[in-house]
Amino acid sequence: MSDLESLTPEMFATVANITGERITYIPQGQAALLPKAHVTYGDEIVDIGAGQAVQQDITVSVSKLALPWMPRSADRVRVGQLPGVTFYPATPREDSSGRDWVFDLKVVR
Amino acid sequence: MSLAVEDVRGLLVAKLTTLGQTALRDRDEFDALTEPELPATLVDEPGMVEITNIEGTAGGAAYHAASFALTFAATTSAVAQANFNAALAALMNDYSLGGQVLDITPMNYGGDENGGKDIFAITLEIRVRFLTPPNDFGTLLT
Repeated sequence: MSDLESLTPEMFATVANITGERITYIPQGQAALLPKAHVTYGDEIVDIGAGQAVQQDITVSVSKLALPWMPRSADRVRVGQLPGVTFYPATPREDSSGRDWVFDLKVVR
Repeated sequence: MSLAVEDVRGLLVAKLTTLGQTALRDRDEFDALTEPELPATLVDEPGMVEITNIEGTAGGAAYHAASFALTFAATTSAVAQANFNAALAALMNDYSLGGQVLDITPMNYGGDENGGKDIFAITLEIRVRFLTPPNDFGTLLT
C-alpha cells in the first residue's frame, strides 16, 4: 500500500510539470535537459560604494528527479523570460523539503 | 558661486574621461545604475577634511585637503579592476592634474561586499590637496 511519503517525490514532480516553466539545462559535456522548474525572476539593488546598481536576481528550483545531481558552475542554463542569455548555476543548495535543487543564476560573460 | 573643490571634482571627471571611462559626478545615490550603463565610474561628492590658512607676503592662501571616493563599477570583476588600475596609474602619473592641484594621494581601496553576483565594484579613496585665495573658496589657485 502506498503511503504519503512514497508518493511525495512523484507529487513534487507532477506539480512542477503542471505549474513549472520549461528551462534548458545543459550539463557540461552532455546533452541538454529540458526540466520543468520554478523560476523566480526579479532584480535587486545592491550598494556599490558611492551609489547603487541594479542586478538580476533569478532563483531556480528544480526537482531532483529531473536533475539527479547537484548543479555545477560548469553547467549552463537558459530560461524562457530571457532568451539569448546564458547563465550558469551559482550557490546550489537543497530546498527545505530536500526534494528540489535551488540555485541562483549568474550571467556567463 | 561654485566651490573650488567642485572644480577639482570636475578635473577628476575629465581625467577619467580621457581614459575612456564613463565618469558620473552628479548621479543621485539612490538612482541605481543599470546594467546597460556599465561600466561606469562614480565620482562621489567630496568630503572636506581640512582647510588651513597659510600666511604669506602675497596675502597668503587657503590650503585644502579633500577626500574623494571613486567607484569603478562593471559587470565583470576584470573590467572593474582594469578601470581601477588605469585610473590609479593615470592619477599617480599626473598627480597634480596638470598643475591644477598640489598633489593626489591614494588613501584606501576596497571591493564592495554587497555586489558580486553580476555587478562588481571597487572603490578608490584619494586625498587631493589644493590652494585657493584666503576667504575665497571659489577660485582654484594653480
